[in-house]
Amino acid sequence: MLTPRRIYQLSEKALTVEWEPVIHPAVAAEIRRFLQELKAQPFPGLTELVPAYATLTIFYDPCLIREHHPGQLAAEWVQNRVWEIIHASASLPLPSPSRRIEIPVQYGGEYGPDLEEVATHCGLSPAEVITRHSQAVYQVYMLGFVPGFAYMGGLPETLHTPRKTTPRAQVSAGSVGIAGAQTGIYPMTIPGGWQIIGRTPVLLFDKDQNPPAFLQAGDEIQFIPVNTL
Amino acid sequence: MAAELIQPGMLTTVQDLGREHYRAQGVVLSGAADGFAHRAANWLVGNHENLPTLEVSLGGLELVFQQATVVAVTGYGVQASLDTLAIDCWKPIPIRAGNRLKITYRGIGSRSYLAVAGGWEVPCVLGSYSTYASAGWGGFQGRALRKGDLLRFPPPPHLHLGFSIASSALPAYSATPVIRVMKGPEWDWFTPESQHQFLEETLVILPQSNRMGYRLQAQMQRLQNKELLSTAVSPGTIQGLPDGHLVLMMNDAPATGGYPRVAQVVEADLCLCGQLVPGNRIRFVAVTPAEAEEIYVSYQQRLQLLKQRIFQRLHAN
Repeated sequence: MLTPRRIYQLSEKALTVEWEPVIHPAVAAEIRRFLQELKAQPFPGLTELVPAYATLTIFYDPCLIREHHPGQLAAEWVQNRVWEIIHASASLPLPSPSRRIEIPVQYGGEYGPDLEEVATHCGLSPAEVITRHSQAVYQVYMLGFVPGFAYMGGLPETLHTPRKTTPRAQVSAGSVGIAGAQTGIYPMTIPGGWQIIGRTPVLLFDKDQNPPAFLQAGDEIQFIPVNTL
Repeated sequence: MAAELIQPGMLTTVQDLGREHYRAQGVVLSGAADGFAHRAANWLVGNHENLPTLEVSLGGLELVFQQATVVAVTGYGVQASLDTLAIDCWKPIPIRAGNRLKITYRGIGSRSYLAVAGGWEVPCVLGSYSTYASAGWGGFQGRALRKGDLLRFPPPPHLHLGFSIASSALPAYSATPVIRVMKGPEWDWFTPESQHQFLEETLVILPQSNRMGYRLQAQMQRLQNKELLSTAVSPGTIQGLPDGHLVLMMNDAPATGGYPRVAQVVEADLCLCGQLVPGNRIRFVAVTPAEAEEIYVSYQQRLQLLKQRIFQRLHAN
């Protein structure tokens, strides 16, 4: 078992549990196991759980917790509860990736204006970039940046490409890009500096759905090349 | 029942207390930058604190009410008028059909809040009325208000007026506020000189500042060039940028961030931050996490007491 290395207060109403700061499926599995246990036995005053690469942040209502546990700091009570759950869940099996999701992508052309640049940088042909990008399996570690944006791990090293020197004023929703060691999909049209290699028609965030984000932490992703959108 | 927007001002958006419970979906919190003024405006017209108000940045708002109602204007340094007469802020104001309400900026503070009895009628999106303009949803049609917009509101209840919030009950608004912070999780990533600068000098707010965050001029040096993996942040988180400046995250900041966190503003002082503009200066003082929690709890108690007193006056027999 990978034990957290510290618990710190993010604010008066949030504690963050921090594991070894690495982007690794084993750490992500620990975080998910802990998150599932907290969800299965929520305490009164627990408001929200936010997983990240190597952290899980627990938002709570300090006033409500102090009502339930008078004479104690809410932060201390939550911290004790968190350690209890971590120790109690240590013997439970680690969760495997929740879902495998296939995402159709039209690579290159008007939808992937930077495919050539990525290929040149990586010393590959555009076709080889598409093959490598679509053969890898990616894991979603967390959501953030903008609604529905998934931080993924698993981009083959041969495809690592720096961000564009000048960001675009507008990157269309659904654009699939590479930035350094990351790959990701823009859920909405915003300015951005990622190298755009393709586009998917999949709607990544729908405010009328529950949950609103299409991808969730713990999902496995594979990109499927398609010719027409 | 409705009010017609004659002038929108520089930036007027619908806000409430923010879109909690969707951080793990990457959703931005949003919400009023000055949560105290937003709450007080609602209470003064008999509303629950989480109903939508209009957040008016730097004044310039002008609207005409088509029906009678009750409104309240709150904020720091704000000046409001009804037709040609100046009106008091932090006070419920009766409105007659045809009245023209103006909110003017006079160089003090930054944001004012306009509440109407019963709340402005906008759809609730993901549990909140707040505007998230980047994605085009929330608030009034997912955008800042424009000239000609028709803002609807329900018929007003019967309320007893004729009182206002005493200035002694207001936050210590200032262009040079002292802001209490907890040291951040990466506090010890910075050199002792930088830590000293952060707590001993007044830091000026730079022009690149908005509802996402304020840039503060500083020369924060790190001990080593470690990278932080993206993790949860919240309004009030102060991050150290690679160029040495700081960014104080405000309500429209992303739910996650990847720069080392120098400090976290205590919730009770966020309302003071919400009234700052470029050129203003902040002095930070450190409190322990235990002190921060006590400050939080007593701030919540103060808010509840204020709410009770206002409601007693509004519903007096």
